[in-house]
Amino acid sequence: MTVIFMYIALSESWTILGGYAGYVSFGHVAFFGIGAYTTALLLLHVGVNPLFSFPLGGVAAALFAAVVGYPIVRLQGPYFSIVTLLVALLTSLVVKNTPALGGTTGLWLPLPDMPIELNRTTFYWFMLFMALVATGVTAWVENSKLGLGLMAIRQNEAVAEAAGANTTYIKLAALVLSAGLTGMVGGIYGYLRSYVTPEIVFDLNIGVTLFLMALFGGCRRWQGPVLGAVILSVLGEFLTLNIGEEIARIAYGLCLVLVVFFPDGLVGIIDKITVNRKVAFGGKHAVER
Amino acid sequence: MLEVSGLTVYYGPLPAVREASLKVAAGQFVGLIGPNGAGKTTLLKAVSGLLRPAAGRVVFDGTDITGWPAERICELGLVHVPEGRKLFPRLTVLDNLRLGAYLPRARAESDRALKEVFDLFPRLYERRRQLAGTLSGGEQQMLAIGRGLAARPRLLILDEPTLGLSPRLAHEILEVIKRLNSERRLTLLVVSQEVVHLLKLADYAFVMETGRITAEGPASELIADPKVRKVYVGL
Amino acid sequence: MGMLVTSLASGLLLGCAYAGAAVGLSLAMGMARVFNLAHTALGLTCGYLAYFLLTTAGIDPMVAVGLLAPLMFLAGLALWPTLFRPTVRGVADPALSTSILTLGLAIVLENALSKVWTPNPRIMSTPYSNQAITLFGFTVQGSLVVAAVLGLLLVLGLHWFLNRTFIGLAIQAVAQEPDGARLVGIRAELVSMLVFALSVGTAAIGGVGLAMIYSFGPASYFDWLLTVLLIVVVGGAGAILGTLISALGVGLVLGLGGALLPQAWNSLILFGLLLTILLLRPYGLFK
Ligand SMILES: Nc1ncnc2c1ncn2[C@@H]1O[C@H](COP(=O)(O)OP(=O)(O)O)[C@@H](O)[C@H]1O
Ligand SMILES: [Mg+2]
Repeated sequence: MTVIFMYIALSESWTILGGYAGYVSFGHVAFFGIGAYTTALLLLHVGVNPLFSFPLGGVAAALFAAVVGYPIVRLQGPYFSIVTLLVALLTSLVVKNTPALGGTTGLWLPLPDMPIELNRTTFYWFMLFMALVATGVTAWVENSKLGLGLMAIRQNEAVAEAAGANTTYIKLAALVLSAGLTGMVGGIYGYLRSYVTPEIVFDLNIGVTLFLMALFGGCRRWQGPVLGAVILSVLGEFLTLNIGEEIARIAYGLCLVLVVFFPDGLVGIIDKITVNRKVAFGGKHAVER
Repeated sequence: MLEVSGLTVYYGPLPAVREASLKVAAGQFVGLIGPNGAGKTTLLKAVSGLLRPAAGRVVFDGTDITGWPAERICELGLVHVPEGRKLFPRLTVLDNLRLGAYLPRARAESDRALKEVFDLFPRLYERRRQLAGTLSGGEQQMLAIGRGLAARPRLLILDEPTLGLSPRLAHEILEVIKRLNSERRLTLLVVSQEVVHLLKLADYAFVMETGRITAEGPASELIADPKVRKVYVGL
Repeated sequence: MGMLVTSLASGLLLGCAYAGAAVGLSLAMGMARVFNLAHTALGLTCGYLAYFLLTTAGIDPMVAVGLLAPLMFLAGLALWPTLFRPTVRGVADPALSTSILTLGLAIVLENALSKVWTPNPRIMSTPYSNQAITLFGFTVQGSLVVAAVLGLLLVLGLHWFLNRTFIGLAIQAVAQEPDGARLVGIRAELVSMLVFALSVGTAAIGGVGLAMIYSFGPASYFDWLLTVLLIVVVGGAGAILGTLISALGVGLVLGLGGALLPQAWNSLILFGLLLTILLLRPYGLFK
């Protein structure tokens, strides 16, 4: 369950830029990892419990996004995607080669001194909290001025710009917000794993899974990533346990292929079905849609 | 030879051509005039298959070609030299012309076609090894016409062959086009902003405004028509 | 000094091999609007198949290439109408949609390879793979020479095909001006399918070439992909000779880097170069 909440939080955060504006980041795991390392360092050097400091993980990730984001959000299509991926790779590479950060062996975090059961439920509640926060923020963005700008960018960036919107600023704001939320989740995750290594917190599989879920569920609306994260986490877990991890990954890959044919994801398909039903019953709303 | 009836073409929700009808008889030189944005280019693109009409019919030589793809329409001998020329900029003049004769029907005669084009436009022969993108505007227009001729057209549609050229060069191009009609009996449908000159050379003409055909008649009569004069010849 | 010269020579050979792996992607990106992130994964799959043929039937990889490339060409013909055409046509940004599609394909291939051949690294050992060959006074590895020759032949062959045959000209015409091409009767749709199939076919040649040089595992496609992307972006998508020149440059950097610097630096150089170039010249690389 904890993992499902984590992926809900991650794919919701990703959706702010990736879904609403259509800027598909392949490298969001960079922000996740930065969040994890931030809280880990705060625990080891300052002695602050990550369960208190995880918002600072978000702040660190957001700052990082604000610093590197400007040239990146000006790229388009797959060039944006590839560059975000490279940023994740480079961040991980730098961490691997910085002794102060533990290099490739990473940092070991002493777990909270409490019974293992209580420990589990604690993380459960924190990830649930993050899932709610990320979903709430993303839902709020959807109906905010920022959301309007992002969706205008997805529809036609040139037109949005011609209409006087500062698209670079809008995209950057979305990236920073999205990175901040992702960093907070990472800040909790590192503590949950009690090990923060580049392999674990900069894992590209996490980076791909989080947006795959959003795309699969449908990332034009906030409901989609929740749906995608729940369904694909369960499917992935089921396949991993019963057949093998590779088959689960293959299924994820196939979902990514499918998504191209259903750009509005599951939510889009559900919408279509319900609209058709309404039309069949002569409903008035359907016509207005 | 070409019969367009009730043609309607949309860009998204907006119609750019509304129920337009026109006819071109074999051997005729027909002009199509109208202000910018009237829908002339859109009409021609729908005729040659670059756009799909929403309604209406296009019949070429007795064959209903409505909604056919451009490459099949070209095969029938209806050849469109589009607005903006659409040359292959990083290929040589010679390769552009060879590609004009891409279809088997044209390829069989491509040597003769090339020779004819070079006779018509000696400048192209001089520049045959140059990349098309490096030619001047006038030369590019010559190449576009040459590429169209290499496809062995029975009906040649020319969209704004004089666009962006000096008046002298524009007239020169129109004279060459006229010769294609008078000497080789090539059927022509030509759009140009050089209205007076076009109407002097053409046999028949249509006037298009805001998506509709609003007037038609023998070119010599249209040029005398006070309404047409007022709008276009107000020079 | 001797080592430096030798690593220069093997860098150039490496560049030729990489040119073979990159040229198909350049073709797909520049001429079929397909941003194929599965290009090297397809190549790696062929590498595994060649490995399989070598270890079970003793078939030399050079022969295997002759079998695999036409097979992959056919696979490309089949993939175009089913997966790729709908992804390219009527889409706002074909490059983005194809990149998502092909990322999915790459993940499928990677894990399928891992399932069939385990994640353990493999090495293709042929009689000539470790044989030292002396060329113009430099001593280099046999398999490197073979892979380089394969890559070079592929690039030069494609260059010839695109510029000296009528179909090649038609391909360029569609890439440069699709409407103009349709107006002279070229079936642009078929041409795109042909280009894509060619690109996938060449992935086999490039992939087997790289598999002959390096030890490879199911995830090897990833580093190959980044290298090949760097080459294509520098050389210009769709520019065949540009790809070759850029590949030679990248090969030199990798060859020298491999000889002089620790592994981490090599990745840093690769990622850093690609990042810098994408940030500085993102547009105009794609039509
Ligand atoms: N690709 C397009 N998308 C949307 N609208 C277009 C497009 N091309 C032309 N239009 C519109 O269609 C109308 C007719 O344009 P066009 O056929 O080019 O006219 P003309 O050739 O007579 O100048 C114009 O209002 C123009 O703005
Ligand atoms: Mg026009």
